[in-house]
Amino acid sequence: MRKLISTLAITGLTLGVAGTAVAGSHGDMIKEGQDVYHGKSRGNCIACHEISDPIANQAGNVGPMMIAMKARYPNKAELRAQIWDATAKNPLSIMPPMGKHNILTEDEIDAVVEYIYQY
Amino acid sequence: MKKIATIAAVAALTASSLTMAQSFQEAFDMNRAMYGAGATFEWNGKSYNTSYIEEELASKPANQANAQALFDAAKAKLAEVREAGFAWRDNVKYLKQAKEALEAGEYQKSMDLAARSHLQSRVGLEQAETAKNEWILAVPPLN
Amino acid sequence: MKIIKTTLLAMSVAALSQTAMAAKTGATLSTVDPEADRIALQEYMKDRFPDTPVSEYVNGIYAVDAASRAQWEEIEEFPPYELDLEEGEELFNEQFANGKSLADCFDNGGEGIRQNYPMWNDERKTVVTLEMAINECRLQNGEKPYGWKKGPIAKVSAYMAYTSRGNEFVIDIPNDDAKAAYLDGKKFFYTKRGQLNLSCADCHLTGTNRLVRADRPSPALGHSTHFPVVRSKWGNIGTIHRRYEGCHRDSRSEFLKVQSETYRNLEYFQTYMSNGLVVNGPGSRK
Repeated sequence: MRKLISTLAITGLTLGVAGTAVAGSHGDMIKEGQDVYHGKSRGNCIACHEISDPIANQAGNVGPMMIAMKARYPNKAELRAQIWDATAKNPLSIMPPMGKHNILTEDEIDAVVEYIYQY
Repeated sequence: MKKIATIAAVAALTASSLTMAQSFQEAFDMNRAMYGAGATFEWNGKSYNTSYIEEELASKPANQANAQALFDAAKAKLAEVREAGFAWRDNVKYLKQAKEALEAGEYQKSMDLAARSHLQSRVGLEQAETAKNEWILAVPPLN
Repeated sequence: MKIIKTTLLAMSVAALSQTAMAAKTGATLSTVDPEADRIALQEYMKDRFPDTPVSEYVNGIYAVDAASRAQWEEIEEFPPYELDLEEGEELFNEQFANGKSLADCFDNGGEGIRQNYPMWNDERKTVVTLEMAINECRLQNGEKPYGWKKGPIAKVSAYMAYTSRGNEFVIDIPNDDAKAAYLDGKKFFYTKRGQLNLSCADCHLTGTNRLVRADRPSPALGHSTHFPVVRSKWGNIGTIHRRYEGCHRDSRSEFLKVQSETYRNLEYFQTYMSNGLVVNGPGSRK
């Protein structure tokens, strides 16, 4: 089990670096994440989750507000997993499995994670 | 810790939930969920990566034979998920576009589209399987 | 990692006990209990909206959302379905080429009977919706059937609902075959589907009256009482199956044909849930 953990940790690190390199600067990634979050034909996350970004328009309240993300998810990878498939933890979750169901690409999910992790 | 052990024992007795929690699919999904595509993980002592079968097939050499094979596989998968009643909105669209690209000799484009259609059909079938046991959980119980 | 493992364990235990509990509410033909389901749904809504009497659920979202209710009441003062009702009445009374009319195909001349539909037909072993009965009547009398989703079918159905206003729904499940159809509808209602992994219940039970952007999904209880409806989004009157198709599509599924067996079973389930509530169709909705 411990071996698995270290493998995971290393992989996470490597991917994190590689991911950033591919997507350009951290700022670009956040901009992309913002676009995915608020775009009606993209993630449309705002339909259910409020966020205190001035550009937010007609935020829904089906899901929790995007607040204190670092405290709620000290491990960023777990936040990513929650977006990828919320039904893994709660089979009844209304949240569409954004990654598992191929709604967003893996890069788009990475970008959204960076965007909401600021809040 | 003793408490956890007891819970685990109960769970193991009641059903095979323990082995289910550690199935390959669960391990794969957990790692893909946390780290995306191209990560590696260990399961039962062996090393695997988090790429989908579709991603591997679509990265084969882009030629007519490979594109045709992937298109055929995607077409069969769509028929299967339709039969189960769980086809998604866009599967058929991707498949049609894959066919057009194949006929136009745009093999890589065709393979990417067929891969996407196949993936959505495959996950739709998983969804159908999951639903069999889980739909009832959503029914409000009579108190 | 220990934390993850513990969480996984705890979750599987929770899932197991949930299954045990839910089994009581009936996932199989031998255990399904429509009356228990109906009462449980009412209890659920009472719990969520303690200030809303059960009889109010015929008004959809306006039963639970005071803000949009005022607006809706204003609209209902000059109902947008008034012309449809007039046309529906004319169509209802229209003589077929053979001299008969719709009235000849229904009990009580087709007046005040909405509350019995959808109805189990035991000879055919299938659920017959009001719209299906209307079109079959036309076919049997040598007339062309109407289109299923809007226009004449919705107008005739609206008129027939109007003559039944105030009557309590009394959907009957006479035997095990009928119960199997009910169970199929119930299963469809609670099953997650489509790329968005949404069940009817996700929006209309768990998510009811919550904001999805600026929209609030209506509560599942009383869903079929007020159809057909003039929907602002449609700009005209439509049947409940038209709405089913739209909802199904919104989950990003390949949707079914209106009046398909599955949608008819769904309507059977939903209308059974409305037993005891009154017919108040046609209605107007956002």
